[in-house]
Amino acid sequence: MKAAALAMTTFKEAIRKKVLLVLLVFAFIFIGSSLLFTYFSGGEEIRMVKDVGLTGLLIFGLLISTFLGMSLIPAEIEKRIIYTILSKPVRRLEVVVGKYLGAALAVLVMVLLMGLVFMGLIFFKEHTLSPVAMLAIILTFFELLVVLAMAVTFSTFASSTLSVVLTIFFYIMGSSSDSLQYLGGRSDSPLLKVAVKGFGYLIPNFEIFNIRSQVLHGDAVPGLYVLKAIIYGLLFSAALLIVAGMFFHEKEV
Amino acid sequence: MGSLSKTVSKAQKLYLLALVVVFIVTALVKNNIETDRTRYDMLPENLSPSDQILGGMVGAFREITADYLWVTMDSFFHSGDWQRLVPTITLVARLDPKFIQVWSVGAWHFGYNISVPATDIKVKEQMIRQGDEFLAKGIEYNPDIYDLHFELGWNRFDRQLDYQRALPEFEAAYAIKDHPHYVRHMIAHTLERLGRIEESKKLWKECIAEGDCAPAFGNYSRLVKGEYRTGVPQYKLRNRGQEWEKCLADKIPVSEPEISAYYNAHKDTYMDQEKISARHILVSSRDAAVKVLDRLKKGEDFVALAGKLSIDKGTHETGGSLGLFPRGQMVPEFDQAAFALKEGQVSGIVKTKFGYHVIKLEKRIPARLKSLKEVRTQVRDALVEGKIQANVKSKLAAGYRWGVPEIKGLEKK
Repeated sequence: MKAAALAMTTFKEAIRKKVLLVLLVFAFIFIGSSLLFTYFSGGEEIRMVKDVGLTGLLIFGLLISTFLGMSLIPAEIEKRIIYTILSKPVRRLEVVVGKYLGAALAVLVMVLLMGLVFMGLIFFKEHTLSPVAMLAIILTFFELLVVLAMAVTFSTFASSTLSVVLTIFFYIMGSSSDSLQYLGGRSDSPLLKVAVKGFGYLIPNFEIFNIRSQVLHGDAVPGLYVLKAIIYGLLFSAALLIVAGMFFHEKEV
Repeated sequence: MGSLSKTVSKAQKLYLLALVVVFIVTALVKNNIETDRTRYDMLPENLSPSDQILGGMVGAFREITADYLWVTMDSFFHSGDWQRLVPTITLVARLDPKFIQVWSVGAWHFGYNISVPATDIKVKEQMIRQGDEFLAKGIEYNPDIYDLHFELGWNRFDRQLDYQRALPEFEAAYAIKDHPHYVRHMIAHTLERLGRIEESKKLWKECIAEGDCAPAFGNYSRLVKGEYRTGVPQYKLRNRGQEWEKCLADKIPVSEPEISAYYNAHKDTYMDQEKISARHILVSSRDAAVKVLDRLKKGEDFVALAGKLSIDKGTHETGGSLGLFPRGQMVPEFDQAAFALKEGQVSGIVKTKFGYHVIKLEKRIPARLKSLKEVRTQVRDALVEGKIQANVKSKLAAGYRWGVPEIKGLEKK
């Protein structure tokens, strides 16, 4: 209950942030610009709209999640609000979870708004709604949840700048995970093989959430797969939050 | 102090325990997902290591990078920047190997847009070979798509004139569900070129029976009548000859005696026809024409009179001048009358569908043979063209196909 109350305040604060509004406007412009792209696309209009739209949603979602996540806890400490929270009988893990959920709700609202604009464009172009594209948006949201959890975790022990850098770094690592695994698997050194394999478990594989290729090529994505990917995203976020709780627990405020 | 560190470590233990549990479950789920991704073909497994690195570098933005390059590729094509088009095509294909359009459009650029205008025969052949290999590569990544098999078949049929190797590709396209009806037509055409007439007939018959094509379409009836087109058709030979000409024109040696021999043998083609220059006055009735003749007899000037009386709007301002013209350019009645005149002579009344003419012949240039000096380049071009045609024919007869000799070496039948 306490976490829920904390989540609501965090959510309200988050959506009032001007930087979010600015990012959202840019996202709309970016997604809308896919219509201009179609002019040059040599007969692949709808592919362009889908690709630019989904990628825009991802890029701006990443920015929104990273900036929200990194500032959640440090901002509280800076503003010294945390003392009033911590003086109450709220466990530190609850603080982390509550703030995370609030931010997650804000990310959800942002993704929904961008998703609506995107689906509107597709409908305008194709006169049908693409179910696979909808699944892609849903999976992007759960991908962003992991990114958000990463940013929160880093912010419990690193400065804001370092948190952003680390989040971006691990996002890139995580989205190259497939290639890394493949190359590791071809290695002759058993030690390297094991190391790469372990690395694959430690870093979230963001490619699991990427079904943009299926959207573009009109391939079907099984519902069960989407469900599993969602569970993976939630579990990984939970693991990250536990780590965040651990660090926050140790932190002197 | 002792109790505090104890509580901290207890909480830490709890955190660690929770972390380990969640982590193990996550790992299990991940393993399950990876199996699914292999099963649903979501992993780019058959990529080469360099493509894997490339894909890894752009990570989540692989498709958008491919699309960005696809757009620039289009602009390179329109600006004719082949040097940049070729690597861009390959890059897009490597970034998104399931982007069918890239394989087919890319191969079309190689096989046609770049290779046709190329004047270096080596470049030409290399591009055709590259188009063939590019499509084969695309098929490796997308074996279940009919498009690429058909494209490769078409490339071999139309560009390489290699019907033997085109056939299996058309057949592979036909074996894939959802292929369009023309795939079977192409099989039938290819069989015909290969001289397997009975099989071709059978296929056309099937097409007609299944409503794939109208009986009036004519392919079947043509075969029944025995009008086969086996081997490389004549118009293709001609096209190929013209293409080779652009590459070889400067390199084919033509000797002086050859030129004069050809000139002497084809003198009729180098004749300048007889031409005359004439004026006319056109009026609408015979009476008016008679009046014109009367006034001319009284010594009035033809040019002035044409300006005053001619109803031919095109010439009355220039004194009825028609300029120089050879036989056959005017209506026959006019032609006959005008060419029969002597220089300075005025005709009688000539009736044509335009009305009544009075014609005056100004000058006559008799027919003459153009000198060898004047037509030397023409003679040379004709000689070169003939030599190339013969060359194309003999090479094709010897089994030469565009860009194929090297590939043939690779294939072991």
